[in-house]
Amino acid sequence: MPGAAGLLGEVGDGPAAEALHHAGAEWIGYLTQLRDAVAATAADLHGVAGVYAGAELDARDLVRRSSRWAS
Amino acid sequence: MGVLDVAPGAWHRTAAAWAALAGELERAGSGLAGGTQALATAWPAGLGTAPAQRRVGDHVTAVRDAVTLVRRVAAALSSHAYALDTLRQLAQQDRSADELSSLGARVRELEERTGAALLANRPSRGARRARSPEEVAAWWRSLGWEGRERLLREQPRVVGRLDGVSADDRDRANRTVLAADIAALTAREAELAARLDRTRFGLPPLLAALVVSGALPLELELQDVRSRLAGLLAVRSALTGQPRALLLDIDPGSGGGDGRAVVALGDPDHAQHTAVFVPGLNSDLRDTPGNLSLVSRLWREADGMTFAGGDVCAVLWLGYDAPETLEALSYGPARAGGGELAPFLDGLGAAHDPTASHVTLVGHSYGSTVVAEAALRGGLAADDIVAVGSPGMHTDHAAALGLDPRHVWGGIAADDPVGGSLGELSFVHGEEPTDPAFGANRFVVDTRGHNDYWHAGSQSLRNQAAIVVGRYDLVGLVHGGLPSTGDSQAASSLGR
Repeated sequence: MPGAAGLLGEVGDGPAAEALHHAGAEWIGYLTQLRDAVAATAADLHGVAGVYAGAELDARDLVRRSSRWAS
Repeated sequence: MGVLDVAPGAWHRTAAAWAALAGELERAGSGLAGGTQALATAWPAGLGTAPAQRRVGDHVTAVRDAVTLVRRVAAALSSHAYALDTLRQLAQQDRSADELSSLGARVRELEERTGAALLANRPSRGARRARSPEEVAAWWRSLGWEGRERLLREQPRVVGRLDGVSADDRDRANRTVLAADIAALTAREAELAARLDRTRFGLPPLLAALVVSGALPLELELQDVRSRLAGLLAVRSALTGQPRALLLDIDPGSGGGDGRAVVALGDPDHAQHTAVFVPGLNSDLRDTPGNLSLVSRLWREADGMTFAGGDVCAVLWLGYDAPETLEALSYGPARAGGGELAPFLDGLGAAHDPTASHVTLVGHSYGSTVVAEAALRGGLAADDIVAVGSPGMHTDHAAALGLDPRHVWGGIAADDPVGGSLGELSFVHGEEPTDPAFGANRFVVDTRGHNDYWHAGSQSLRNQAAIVVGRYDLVGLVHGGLPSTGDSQAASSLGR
C-alpha cells in the first residue's frame, strides 16, 4: 500500500496506541482493497481501449493515470 | 504509564506518516479525477460510458473521502504529540507527587480522547458496511422480540445508525445514545470549567488562555464540548413537538465533524409518501429546530393533500458535514454526503412495509448537490427529486440523474442570490436545475430570498407538497412537462 511505512508507529501501549493499531490496520486493509479495485478498473478500461481503437490514445491516458496509483 | 515515560517523538513521526499518506492519496485522487474527464472524451457514445464513468467516479469519491478522514487522523496524532510534549515538559520541572499524579491523570485523559478520535475516523461507514440494508432488515426481523431488545439495550450506538432496522427501534436506540452523550458532555463541561477556574488565577478566559501554561488546550476543549453539547440539546428540544418525531441517527460530532442528525416526522416504515429534506450550507446540529420546523410545514401541507391523512412522512436528513462558506465551492462534502444518503434511502425502502413508499428527495442549496451526487451513483431509491435554491447538480442535464426528467423539479426565487448574483457558481457545480437547458421542470416560486421556500400558505410550499404526494396536476409550472399523476403510484408499486 502506498505510504504504509510508519502508519502504526512505535508508540507503546495505552488507549491511544491501541486505537491507532486498530484503526491503522483497518485503514491499511481498506486502502489495499481500494487500490485493487482501481487496478481492476484500469485493467477493464485497458481492454476497452483495445476495442475502441480510435479513442485509444485518450483511454490509454486514463489507464496511465489510474495505474500510477494502482502500482 | 507515568507522565515522565511518555514518548512524543514516536507520535510526531506517526503523525507525519499519516500526513504523508493524506498527501499521496490527494495526488492519487487528482490523477483519477483527470482520468474521468479523459474517459468522457475517449468513449463518448459507447454503451458502457455511464457505468464506466460511475465506477471511476466512485473510486475518485472513495479516495477523496479517505483524504478527509486520513487528514483528521494525522491531526489527532499531531495534537496528541504536542500535548504530550507539553505535559512532559511540565513534569520535568520540579513537581510534587500530587502535581505529578495530576499530570498523569491528564495523560490518561488525553489517551482516551485521542483514541476516540482515531476510532471515529476509520474508513467511511459506507465502505465498511458489510451487509446491505435489505439483509439488515431481514436479519433484524429474524431476531425476535427478545434478541432485538437485548441489542437495543447493549448496543444502541450500533443499532441506531443501522440502515434497514425499523424506524421505531432506531428511534429508541438513538434516544438512549442522545441521553448518554448529553450526560457525558455535561459532566465533561463541568469538569473542564472547574479545572480552568483553578488554572486561571482569576484572569479573564482569553488572557488566561494566552499566558497561563496549559490553559489554552483546556479552553479549546471546553469550547468544543460546549459546541457539541449545544448541538445535542438543540436536537433534543426539536424532538418534543407534533407530529411525533423519530430520531433515526445522531452523532455529536466527535473526531472533527459537525455531527449528524436524522429526524423523521410521521412513520417512515408505513407512509405512502416520504419526503427526505437535505439542508445546505452551514447547517449543523444547532439548526435542527429551525430545519425541523420547515420540514414540519412541508409535512403538514403534503399530508393535507392526501385523502386519509397520516399517509406522509417527512425526514430531515443532516447525515453529512455541510460545508461552510468557501468550502461550498468544493465537490467533496457533496460526494461524501451522497455516499451516505444513497444507502439511507435503501434502508428506508428495506424497512418499509411490503408496499413501497413514493419517495421524494428535496435538496436545498448545497443540499441539492448532495442529492445529485447520490443520484449520479445510479440506482437511487427515489421517485422524484426537488432542487430549490440550487447552485447546480454536478451535471448539465436532468436525465443524468437517472430519473425521467419530468420527475426532476427545480425552483428558485427571483431574488435568490444563488440564482442571481451568485449564479456564476454554475461554472463550479454545473447548470442550474431551473435553467430550461437542464431539462427539468421548473415550478412556480412566490417566496423571496434563499431561505423562505417553505413559508406557510405560499405556492412554493404547495408545489413541493404536491410533488411529494404525487399530485403533479396541482403543481404550477414555469416550464417543463408534468408527468401523469398515476406515475408516482406506478413507480412505487414497481419498486422503482
